[in-house]
Amino acid sequence: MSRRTFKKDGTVKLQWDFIESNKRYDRILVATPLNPLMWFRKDKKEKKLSQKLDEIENRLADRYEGIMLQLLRKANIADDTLVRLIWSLARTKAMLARDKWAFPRVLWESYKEQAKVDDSMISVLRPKFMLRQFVDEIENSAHRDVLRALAYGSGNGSAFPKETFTMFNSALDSLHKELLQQSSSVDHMTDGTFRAGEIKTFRKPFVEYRDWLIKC
Amino acid sequence: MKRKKDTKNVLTHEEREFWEDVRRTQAETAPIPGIDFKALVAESSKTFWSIRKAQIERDKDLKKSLNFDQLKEMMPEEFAWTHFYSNQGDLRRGFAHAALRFFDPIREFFRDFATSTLPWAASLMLLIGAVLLMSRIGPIAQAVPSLTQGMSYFLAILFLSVAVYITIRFFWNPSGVSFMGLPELKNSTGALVGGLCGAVVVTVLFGYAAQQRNIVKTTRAEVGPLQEEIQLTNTVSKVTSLSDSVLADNKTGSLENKLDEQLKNIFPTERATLKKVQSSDDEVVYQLTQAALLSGSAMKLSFSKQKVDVTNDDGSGYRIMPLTLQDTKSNSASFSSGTTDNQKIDLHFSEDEAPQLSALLRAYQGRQMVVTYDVSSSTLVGLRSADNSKSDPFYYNGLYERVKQLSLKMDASKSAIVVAAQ
Repeated sequence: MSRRTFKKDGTVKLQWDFIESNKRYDRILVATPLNPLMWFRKDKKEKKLSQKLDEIENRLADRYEGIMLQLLRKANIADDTLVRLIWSLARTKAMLARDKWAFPRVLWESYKEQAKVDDSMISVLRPKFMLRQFVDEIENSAHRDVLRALAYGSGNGSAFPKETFTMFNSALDSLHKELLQQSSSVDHMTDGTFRAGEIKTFRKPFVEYRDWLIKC
Repeated sequence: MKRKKDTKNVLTHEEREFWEDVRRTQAETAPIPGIDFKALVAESSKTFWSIRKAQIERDKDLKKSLNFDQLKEMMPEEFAWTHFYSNQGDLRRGFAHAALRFFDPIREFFRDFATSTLPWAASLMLLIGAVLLMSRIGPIAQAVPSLTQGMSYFLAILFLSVAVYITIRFFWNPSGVSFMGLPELKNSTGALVGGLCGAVVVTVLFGYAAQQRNIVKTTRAEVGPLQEEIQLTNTVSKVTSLSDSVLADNKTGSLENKLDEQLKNIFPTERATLKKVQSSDDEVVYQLTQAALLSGSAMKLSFSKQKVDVTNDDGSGYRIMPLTLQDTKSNSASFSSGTTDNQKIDLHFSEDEAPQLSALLRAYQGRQMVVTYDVSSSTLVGLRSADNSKSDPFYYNGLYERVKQLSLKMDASKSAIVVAAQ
C-alpha cells in the first residue's frame, strides 16, 4: 500500500526542492576553490539557482497561503513584517534541517516562534496545515480541486454547485487513500501529527478530515 | 414538476452545516487587506539572501585578518542571523553552526574536500591500484620491473583498500548524518563514473604500452648481444679488406685522407654514423654507430700503419695486423710483430679448425701474414698472406663462417620471442 513516489508538481516535491535548493544555494555562496564542482562557474550557478528558488518559493507560498492566512487570523495578526520573518526563519531552519521532509515542521515552528502565540490557539489548525501537502498528491483532479477550493481558499469566489457536498465527501475518501499510501512515512511527513495506526482506524464518511479541514 | 425541483433544492441539516463551515473557512483563508502574501515571501527571500551574502563577505574578511577581537564582536551577529531570536534548541544549534563556521576550518576544509576532490582521489587510487594489480597479473606481469613483486602487491592492496573505504564513506555514513547532499552525490556520481571509465582506458593504454616496451626490452636483452657480435664480425669483415690497403701501403700518403673516402663507401650514411674522434699522423680513430643495432652501442675503429682495431663498447673486439709466423703447435701458433720491439703473440685455434690450421701453418714458417684475432680470447679468426693476393693458396678467414652461424642463432632466438609474445 505504501507509495514512495510523489508528483513532480506536488507540494511534497516542492518542499524537498525548497530544502535542497536553499542548502545548495548557501553552499555555492560560500564555495571556495577547494570545492571545484561548486566553484566552477559559480556566478552562473548562483543566478540559475536563485531563479529556481524564487519559483519554488512562489509556488510554495501559493500552496500555503490559505492556511497561513487562516493561522494569522486565528492569532489576530495582520503584520506584513511578521510574514517576512516567518519565511526567513523557515529558510534558516530549512538550511539546518537534517531531512528533506522537514518543511511543514519548520514552517509551523517558524510561525509559532515569530507570532509568539499560545499553542492552544492554533493547535486545532495543525492537522489541516499538515494535510496540505497530501492534497496535491490526490490523483483525481476534481477531488483535489474541491479540497483546495473549500478548505484552503484557492477558489475564485464563484458560488459552488450543490453537488459540491457529495464531491467533497468523495474527496475526503481520496485524501484518506493518499494518507494510507504514505503510511510508512506519514509520521515523519507530518512531524508526528498523524500516526499510521491512527489513520487506519478512520472510516467513512471521514468526519475527522472534515472537522480538520473546514470546521476549525 | 415544481414540487420535484423544490425537493431537489432543499438542503439537509448536514449540508447546511457543511456550507456554513465552508463559508467561514473561505472567510478565514481569504486575503488579508494590506498583506500580499506571495510578494512578502519573495521580498523576504531577497532580504534574507542579501544579508547572507553580506555575512559571507564579512566572514571572508574576518578569516583573512584573523582578528579575534573583531571575531568576538561578530559572533552575536552571526549568531542572530542563524537562530533568529529563538528558543533554546535553535539557540544551541545556531551557536554550534556559528562556532563551526568560525572555529572549525578543518572540518570546513574536509567538507569541501569530500564534495569535490574525494571522488577524483578515489578514482585515482582505484586507477593506481588497478594498474599495480594488473602489473602482477596476466601479460603485463613484467611491466613494472622497478618494483619487487611483494611491494607491488602491498601497494595494490593498500590503494584499493583506501579507495574502497573512501567510496563507502562517500556513499554511506554509519553515523546517520549524510556525508554529502543529494546534488553533490549526483555531480559526484558523474565524476566517479567518468573517473572510472578514464581509469579503465588509461589502464588499457598503460598495459598495452608496457607490453610493447616489454617486448622491445626482451628483444634487446636476448637478441642484442648476438646482434652486436654479428655487427662486430660484419664490421671486421668489411674493415679487413680496407686494412689490406692501409697496412700494405704503410709508407706513403695521408692515412686520414685515404680512410675518409673508403669508409664512407663501406658504411653508407643512411645505415651508420661515422664520427672521427681522434686524428694524428700515426693513428686515426672513428666512432661507428650502426642504425641496425638494437642496443645503440657504438664501435671504435682505430687505424694505424701497424694495426687496425675494431672494438666494442665493452672492450671486446678484433685486431688486424701483419705478423710473422714463428712457430706452430697443435692448437696454437706463435707470431712476432717484426718491429723493433719484436713483440711475441700466441694465438689459439678454434677446436674444430685446429688440426687443419696446424698442418697448413707449418708450411708457412717465417712468412709475414695479415692476421685477424679476437683480442679478448687471443683466438685466430682470420689469416691471409701479406702480399694481398687472394689467389694465394693459403687464404683463411673464419669470420665469414662465424657470421653465418650467428645469423642462424639469432633467427632461432627471434622465432622464440615471437612465439612467447603470442
